Amino acid sequence: MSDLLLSSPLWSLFLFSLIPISLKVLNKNKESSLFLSSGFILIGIFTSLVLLFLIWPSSNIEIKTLFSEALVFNELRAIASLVLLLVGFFIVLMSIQQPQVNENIFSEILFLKIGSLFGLLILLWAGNLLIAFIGLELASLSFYLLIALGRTGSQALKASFKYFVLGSVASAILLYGISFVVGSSGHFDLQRIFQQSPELITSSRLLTLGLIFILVGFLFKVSIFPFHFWLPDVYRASFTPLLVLMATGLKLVIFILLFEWTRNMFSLLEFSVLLSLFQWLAVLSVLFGNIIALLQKDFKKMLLFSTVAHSGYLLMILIVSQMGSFFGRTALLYYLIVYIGTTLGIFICLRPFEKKDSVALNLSELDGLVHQKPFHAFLITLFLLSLAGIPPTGGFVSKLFVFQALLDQGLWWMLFWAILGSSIALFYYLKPIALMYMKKDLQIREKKVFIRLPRFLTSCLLLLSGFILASGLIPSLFIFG
Amino acid sequence: MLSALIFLPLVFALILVFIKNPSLCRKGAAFCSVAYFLFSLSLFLFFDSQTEELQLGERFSWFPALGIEYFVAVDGLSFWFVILTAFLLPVCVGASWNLIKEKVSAFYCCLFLMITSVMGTFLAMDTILFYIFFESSLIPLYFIIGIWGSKERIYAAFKFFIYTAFGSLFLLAGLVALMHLTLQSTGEMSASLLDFYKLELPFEASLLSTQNVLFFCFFLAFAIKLPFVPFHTWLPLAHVEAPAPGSAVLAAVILKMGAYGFLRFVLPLFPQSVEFFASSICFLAGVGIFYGALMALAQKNIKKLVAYSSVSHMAYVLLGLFSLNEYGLTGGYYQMLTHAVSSAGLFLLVGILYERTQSLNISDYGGLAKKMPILAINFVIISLSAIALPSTGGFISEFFVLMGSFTARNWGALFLALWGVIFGASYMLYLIHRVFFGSVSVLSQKTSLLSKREMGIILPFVFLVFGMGLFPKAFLKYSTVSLNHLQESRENYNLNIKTKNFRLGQKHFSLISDMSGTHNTRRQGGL
Repeated sequence: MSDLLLSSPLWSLFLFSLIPISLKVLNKNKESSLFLSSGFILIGIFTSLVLLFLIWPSSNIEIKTLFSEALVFNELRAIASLVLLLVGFFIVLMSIQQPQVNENIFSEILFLKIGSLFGLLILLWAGNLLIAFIGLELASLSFYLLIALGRTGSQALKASFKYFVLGSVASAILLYGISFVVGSSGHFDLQRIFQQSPELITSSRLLTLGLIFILVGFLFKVSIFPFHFWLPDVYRASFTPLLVLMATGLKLVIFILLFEWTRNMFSLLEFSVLLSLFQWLAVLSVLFGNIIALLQKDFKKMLLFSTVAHSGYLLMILIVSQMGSFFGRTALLYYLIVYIGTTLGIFICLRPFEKKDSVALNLSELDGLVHQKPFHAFLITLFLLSLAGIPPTGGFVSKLFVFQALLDQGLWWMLFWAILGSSIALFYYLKPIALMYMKKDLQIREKKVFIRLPRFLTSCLLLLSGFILASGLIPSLFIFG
Repeated sequence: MLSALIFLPLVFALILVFIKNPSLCRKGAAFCSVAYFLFSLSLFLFFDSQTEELQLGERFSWFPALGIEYFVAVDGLSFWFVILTAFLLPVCVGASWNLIKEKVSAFYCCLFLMITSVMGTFLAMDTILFYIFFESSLIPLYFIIGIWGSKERIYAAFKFFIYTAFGSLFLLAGLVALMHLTLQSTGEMSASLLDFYKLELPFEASLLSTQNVLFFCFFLAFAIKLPFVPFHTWLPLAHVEAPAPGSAVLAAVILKMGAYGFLRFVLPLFPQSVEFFASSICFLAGVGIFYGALMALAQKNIKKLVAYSSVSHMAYVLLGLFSLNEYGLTGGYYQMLTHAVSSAGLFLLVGILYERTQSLNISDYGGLAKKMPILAINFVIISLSAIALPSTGGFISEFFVLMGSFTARNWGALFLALWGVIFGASYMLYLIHRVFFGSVSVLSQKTSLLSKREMGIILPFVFLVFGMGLFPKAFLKYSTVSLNHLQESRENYNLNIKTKNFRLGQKHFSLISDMSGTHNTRRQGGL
């Protein structure tokens, strides 16, 4: 009974996601109003949030286990669940009246989105490797379907299929790695392996290989270089809210999970090869992500590739905190929260540029935006400055944390590459700002027509921009643990 | 009081941005800026020039997880920069009166925001706070150049931003490293400059010793900002493209932020490294003086000429500071002030010319002295300060710098700097000759006399040029104690807090009272 009670945020979310689609079936396959079905989903997310607060761990060290340790729940995971549910909230709001979403299958899309959120929550709470695999697959399958449903035409199917194949390979690698680990150690729980038999890792090659495979499988999902090549295909096919969910929710969950699992992994053992391998992956992600983003002419694509770079910074923090850094956990959480807030904000800001038939958003469409929508241009600027890490935004404190974490372990060489990466990033984050504010020839051309931003999204934007400023000015408010 | 100095312009900016009517906005900006300047003058009443201690400040805990504080204070080193920054605000508002015709409220918003961040940079005693102000000053100037600039403005704004932001990332890395070193030595993380001063940084005569690496991080950031040859290429471009008030702020205070960084951070924090590299940096500064002057001689664009003269003059600052003796330090410091006055004055005069003729080409002008005699007189007087003629401020500072360089026996640098002086006179006189004398050109025909507003902007600069030249002591007396303190105790530099009029947060307050209780005999118990 108490297991069911503890897992109530999970199943309440799932139950509420069934309502709109059941209504549709009962109503002879006719779509009910957008606001009604989204309303049910939002209530579901809200209920989950309330239930989450009811079972909130009372202290830093309290760990609750459910279903004979299949699910694990502690403070860090609770905070991450809270953020994830909030992301879900924004995603659902973003899907309402989204031009690319086919309104005839709105309920199905909502169901799949909440399905993926449900999968991500299971992944986040996973107590062992198998549950994690189930959660990840649940989320991924929803993603494949959502990409395929996203837009009509063969392109969506093609992209969905491509992502499906690549994603399945990643899943297979992950599963393969799990089998190695379980075969050589007899445990499904990584933390237990590290605690009980640390000597195994130095002696057993099979276990090391398995660990590499597992990490690669996860890093594929957060698009760490060189596993980022699926991004353009997914981008071309899917609609914006889905992109945002994949860029924020997936990243949050996987980094938190890796943090929980690989604790002590790098410090405990003589993992010199593995450690330097992952350090280089992080550095290369930062560099390549930024360079590829620099070459893009499409704004959203540019933002998407910049997420590769941000994954790189996150991986840096992760590695450093597992090497025993003093504020790894704080830094990781802060970076993730600010990054998610900023990404949500900037993608909501791009809503007025959405088109029915394509997701592309050429940079030149931003020309002289300030003449038509000054406040909007200001918000985009704010979010871009935060992504670039310029004070007084939250992004600056994130950057400070990355530098702190790296120097805490004396990793000057990684710091050097991080600095180089963020200087490259300045180029492409400043470019849209220059276009929006500094082009003067707008008066000659006719005014552009924008989709009106619904009022609830405007209030979301205000909330997020306030958050970005507050996290930069009063960072103490957003420090956990 | 200091917080008010920092954040008043921010408040004004937030008010001004919502005033849609341009003329009302101009008047509002003028009123606010004059009031602000008068308010800043009250610093003269409270400032104690007899001590090197930090005064009138505020210190509160802000971000305890990383030991970052809200810590602002003023001392002899920053005193004049505070006044200078506040003085520049009404001048720039006046100079933009007719120049800025579109998006007036946004312009004043940017201008006031910039003053906030510059003022914060000069007053911050917590290094991360310093960095936040240092870095956020880029954003308003980026917009000022990029929106109200001339043809190549976007490229110029970009280059300006990326050059300086690149440098300051190294500064951030250096600051974070120092924070970790304080953590190691005291067991508590702190970003306060006072704690950094107490650090003993390990030094060896190799490039990769801790102190040298940190020295390079800081040096790079401030050298780009200064700007120091070969990192100077962003400056001429930014100056040419920026509107006149933007150029004036850029020359007068933004460059000084780099020089101030040397004074506040590099000299006291890394004494051995500074000594180790001093002679080579002095030589490079000599090269900078020479190169800047030579480049100025070759320019066809008035603003570019003045910009290169800035490069040359700022190198004097570095030459003075790194001479590491009293003369050099005083000269370098005074050069910052005189250069601020002369270059800002020149840029504003060029702006007045540009408003009338829309041209910056030297060859378009000629015989302007007949058409605009008063402008010509003012221009000549201010450029005489740039040439360093006796009785102008420039003479005092350059004389002291050369004297310092002589005392330090940097012969190479001295040789180059002396050539720089000669070239300096030639490019300025050559400019005056081509613009103001000779036959009256077509463009010069169109000009009109100075208005009262323009006279009001320029006259303070003329007075300052002579005032600084004839009564240097009246200016230097506010800084001498601090400069001497820096010179004498550079090896183990330390600053204390003068508790009178200093507002402290809970934690620091108890610390101070503990100290004064136990060390009654020692006046400088403090932190």
